[in-house]
Amino acid sequence: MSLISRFFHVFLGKDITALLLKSSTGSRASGGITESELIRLESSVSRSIFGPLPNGVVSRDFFNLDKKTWIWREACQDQDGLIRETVARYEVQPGGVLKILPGHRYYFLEGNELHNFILAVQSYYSLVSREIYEPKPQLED
Amino acid sequence: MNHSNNSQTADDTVRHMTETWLEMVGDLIAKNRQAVIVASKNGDLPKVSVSQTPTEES
Repeated sequence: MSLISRFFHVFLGKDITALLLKSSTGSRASGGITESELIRLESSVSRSIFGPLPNGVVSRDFFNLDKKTWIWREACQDQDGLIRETVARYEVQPGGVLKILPGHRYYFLEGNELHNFILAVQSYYSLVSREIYEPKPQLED
Repeated sequence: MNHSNNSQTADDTVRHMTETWLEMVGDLIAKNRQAVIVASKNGDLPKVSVSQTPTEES
C-alpha cells in the first residue's frame, strides 16, 4: 500500500476504542485488529500531548505512520464555517527530519521546532506504551 | 585546531544520534503494533488497555 493510501486509510477507520472494547468481551470480528485501527487509537491517546485545542481548531492528530514517518494533522474552522485541514509529514532522513507541507514546501527541522518535535515523539511513545501496550522502560534521549 | 571542523563534526554527531533515536522509536512502535495484530489474529487478546480518560469525541 502506498504512503498516501495508508494515510487516507487511517482516517477512514472505525472507532478504535469501541472496537477494542468489543474485542475484550470476546465478540471479536474475524481478522483481528488492523494497523490502521491501532494508529487511530494511538492518535486518540496522544492528543493530550498538545493540551487543549486553541480557538478555531476543531481537531488535531499526531501519529506515527511508519518507522520513518510521522503525521501532524490539524483541522481549523474559518470565519465562514468551513473546515480546513493542514497536514504536515515528518520524514526521518539521513540529513535530518524533513517536514513536508502542502504545496510542495519542505525543509529540514532545526532549532526549537526540531526540539519540540523530538519531545512530541518522546511523549507519544511514552503515552502509547503506557496506555495501549505493555509498560516498557522509558526512552531517554 | 580547526574549531569550525570540530563544530561541524559535533553537529553531525548530534544529527546522527537524533536520527538513530527517532528510527529506534519508530521501530519499537512498529513492533508493538505487530505484536498486537498477530495476537489478535491468533485469538489471544494482547495486554491492551484503553484508558478511561475521556476523549474529545466522547
